[in-house]
Amino acid sequence: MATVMELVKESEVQWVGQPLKRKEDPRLITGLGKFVDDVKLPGLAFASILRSPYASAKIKRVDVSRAEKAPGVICTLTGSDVSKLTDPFLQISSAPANKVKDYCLAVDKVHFVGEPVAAVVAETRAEAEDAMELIEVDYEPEEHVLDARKALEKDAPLVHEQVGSNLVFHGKWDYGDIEDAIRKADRVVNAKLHFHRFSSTPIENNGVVVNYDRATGFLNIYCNNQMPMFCIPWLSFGLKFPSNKIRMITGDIGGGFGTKIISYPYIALICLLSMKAKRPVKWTEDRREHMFANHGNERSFDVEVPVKKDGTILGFKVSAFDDCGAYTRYEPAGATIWAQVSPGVYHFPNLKVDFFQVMTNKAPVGPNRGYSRMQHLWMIERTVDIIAKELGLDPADVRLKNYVRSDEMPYVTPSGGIYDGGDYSESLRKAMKLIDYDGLREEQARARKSGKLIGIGIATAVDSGTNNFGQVKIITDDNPFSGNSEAARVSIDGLGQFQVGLGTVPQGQGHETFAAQIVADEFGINPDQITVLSGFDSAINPYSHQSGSYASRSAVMGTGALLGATKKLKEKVAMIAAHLMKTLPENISFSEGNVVDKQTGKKMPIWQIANVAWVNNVLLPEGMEPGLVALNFWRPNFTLPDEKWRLNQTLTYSYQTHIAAIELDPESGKFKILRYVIVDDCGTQINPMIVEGQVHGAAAHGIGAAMFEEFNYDENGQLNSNTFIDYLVPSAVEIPHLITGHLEIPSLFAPKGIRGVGEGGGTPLGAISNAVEDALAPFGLQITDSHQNPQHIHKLIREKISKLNQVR
Amino acid sequence: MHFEGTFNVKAPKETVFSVILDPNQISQCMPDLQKLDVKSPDDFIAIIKAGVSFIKGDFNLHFTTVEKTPPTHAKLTAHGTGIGSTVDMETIMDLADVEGGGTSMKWSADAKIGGRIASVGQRLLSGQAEKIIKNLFDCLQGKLEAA
Repeated sequence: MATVMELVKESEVQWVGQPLKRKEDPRLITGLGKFVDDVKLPGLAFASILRSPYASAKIKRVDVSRAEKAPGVICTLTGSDVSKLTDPFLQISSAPANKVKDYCLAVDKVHFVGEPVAAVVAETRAEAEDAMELIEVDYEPEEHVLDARKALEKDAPLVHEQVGSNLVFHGKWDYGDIEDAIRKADRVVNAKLHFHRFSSTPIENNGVVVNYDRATGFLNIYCNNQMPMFCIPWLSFGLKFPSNKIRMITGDIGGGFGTKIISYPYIALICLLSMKAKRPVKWTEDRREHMFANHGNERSFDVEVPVKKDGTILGFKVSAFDDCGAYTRYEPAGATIWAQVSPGVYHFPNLKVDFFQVMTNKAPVGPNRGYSRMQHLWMIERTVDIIAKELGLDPADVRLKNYVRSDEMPYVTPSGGIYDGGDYSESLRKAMKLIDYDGLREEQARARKSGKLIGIGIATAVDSGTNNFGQVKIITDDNPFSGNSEAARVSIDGLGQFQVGLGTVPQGQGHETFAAQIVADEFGINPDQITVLSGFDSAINPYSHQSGSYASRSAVMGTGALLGATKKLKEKVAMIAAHLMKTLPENISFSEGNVVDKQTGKKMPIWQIANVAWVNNVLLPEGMEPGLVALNFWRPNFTLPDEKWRLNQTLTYSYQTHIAAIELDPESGKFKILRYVIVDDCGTQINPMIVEGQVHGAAAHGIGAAMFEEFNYDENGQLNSNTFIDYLVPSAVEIPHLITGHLEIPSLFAPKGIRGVGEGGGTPLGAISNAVEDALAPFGLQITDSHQNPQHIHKLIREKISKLNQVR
Repeated sequence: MHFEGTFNVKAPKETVFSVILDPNQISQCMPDLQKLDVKSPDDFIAIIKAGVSFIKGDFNLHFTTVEKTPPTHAKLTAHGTGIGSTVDMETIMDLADVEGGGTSMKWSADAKIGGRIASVGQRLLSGQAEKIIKNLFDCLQGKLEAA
């Protein structure tokens, strides 16, 4: 990769599009990053949290008397304290699911294994942990329910009795005429599919340090939440604390992937503890605790697809059952978010989705890279392969036949999504070429003759980015959210030095680098000359209440806000320059740190203008305010849902095609990836190196989920895979060499034609499921689960063989 | 987890029955008994040291006799907490005469383990639980035959 100095040799460098090394990396790779656990304050005390061992139980008694007498203990907190001190957190659901009472500690009842029940603050973490063991809790176990469909049955145990049902949300999306399409079809393909429960495992767990400042009345909150300002209503209403005295601070964050969005109950808890202890209090989640903190949505599908003999897909009819666990923290947003990509990359003129979201006595779900869309996209990609197999067609041909075409862009989906450009067919053709698809099919045929099982799996997913919060109005009109917005501040100080502040709350995605590239191009300067504030501090950074890193939005929203701020700043610099140079503002251009009069070629360095703006201000044009600071808020043009719930739910629609070739050992059920190809298109790439990193990261995430990662509950609701002994996370050894290719077809709507590329749409789940089924074709087996573990594959093969033997 | 078994002892039913329902006697057969608090013959608390692998600590177990038909049938529940974990157990014991003297005891136990031990130690759990239960009944058998 080129360094800044190598690139700067050219006179007019376009910084957008350069694979610049990241501004963040020197500190991160030399151990100088500052994460929440690095926050050390005078008098810091440490918290430990006692958690429920039951999936469902009444809390009969909590006795903290022994814990409070333990060495080093400062104070304790229980659910009954919390119910007096706070209000239940806000709910996004409509009635009756909005009757869920969510507090930062369980009150009267526990609803899942791992739910916080009490907390201890002590001088050291070890003392807090030891004291926690001395808290006595009497539970009265109750019936629990662990399966979404069973939870909907009439006599199912209720996760929250006051709701009267386990149903959170039931919605019907119905476009075209699916019943007519079913009548006219040559064939109707059916499938029952299940998307498994997993999550992300960022290298840094959740963490919170709260310093309640009794002198100023401020709650100073150091945390690693991904949307700290979005938390404010939850914290302010929950804690009954004025929002103008809540300061949110993040530093470097060791990955989030969505899992650090619903950490607000923990933040609220540590706030209460700091207020009670009259000390700054730190809580750093341990890995086992993190395994309860934020699961991904588990979902099952009943699918019915009318098709023509030639592979034309006429529509989709789906019943989906989404398991959101015991609390609806970001839910039921996920019950609408899948509809961002309702038809995937295909023409489905007839589309009917009956969507149920249901509570169970399992850990609550929250956003996780590819949130809610990857379940839906996996279902589509799995079904397309089932269709191809039933019709005896090549799955690549079925895709090419049904893809939305590039000449239809911008393409409006049945649910109102406006796809902002791209060429899905070209993406697949490119991927097929990179993996040598035809050669692989020949190799597969030869291998089968010698008893070797090779499988090839394709998946193309839409990686939608920059969400329109208006989608939660589908749940209830009362939800006070819509659109999306971001804030940026660009300033030139009195010595002519550039500083940029953003609200985007980076977690390792390189926001400092992309922001510098964008601003550098606007002023014709070098990105090294621009300091971008690291982390986020609500008392320093600009923000909107939708600021944060989520929904693949930061590059797009950050760029929109930055371009607005640079425009304002350039206008002011041009006015001052024109005044000083005795010309008109429209004659001023920016080049290599100077302003240039386009007519005369006369130059003046920007620092001279900054000097006038700040300290030599008698020279300013009459009436102009001093200073060179531009603050800008930016929002895309979004609308609210219409009466059929149609709306453009995101601004950008990146897409990726993945092809996996695997070899499967029928004796053990184990398989290995032989070759793996990815072609992505995120429009204009600000920094191709960062894009490549995002593509690799999303692929590793998806491959891990497809092959290794799964949360297993036993029949008692105990989470059996909550250490890295049982919850298997892939390392560099398990992830194959990734062969990547790119298309760069600009977004038709986003600033500079860029699209978000943070999530990847869970594409490997489809590619690997399809490859496994393809490998197993000689056995005629169908893959119905998104998780492919050797035990399960082995069992499928054994069952099939014993069935075949019985026939003989 | 379900466990069951049968054993024979050379002692009359009445003796067996009284021993297995005597907190002071049965508690001696529990692993690493730390403390016993007998509220009534049908209601007692035993603090024992138990665990799996490196997760070891005190368990506070509350035993209650919920069914009692002397000298042939009894059902006990045990409910306990400790080291971030819980145990809920139900044990049924049925006694019958053996031809030629002695008693046959048929027992079954259903145990639910929750919390830290369940999630971290699940691979070792059923082996460990079986060992504890087997030791308990071996100890009882020895006690009865010595009596």
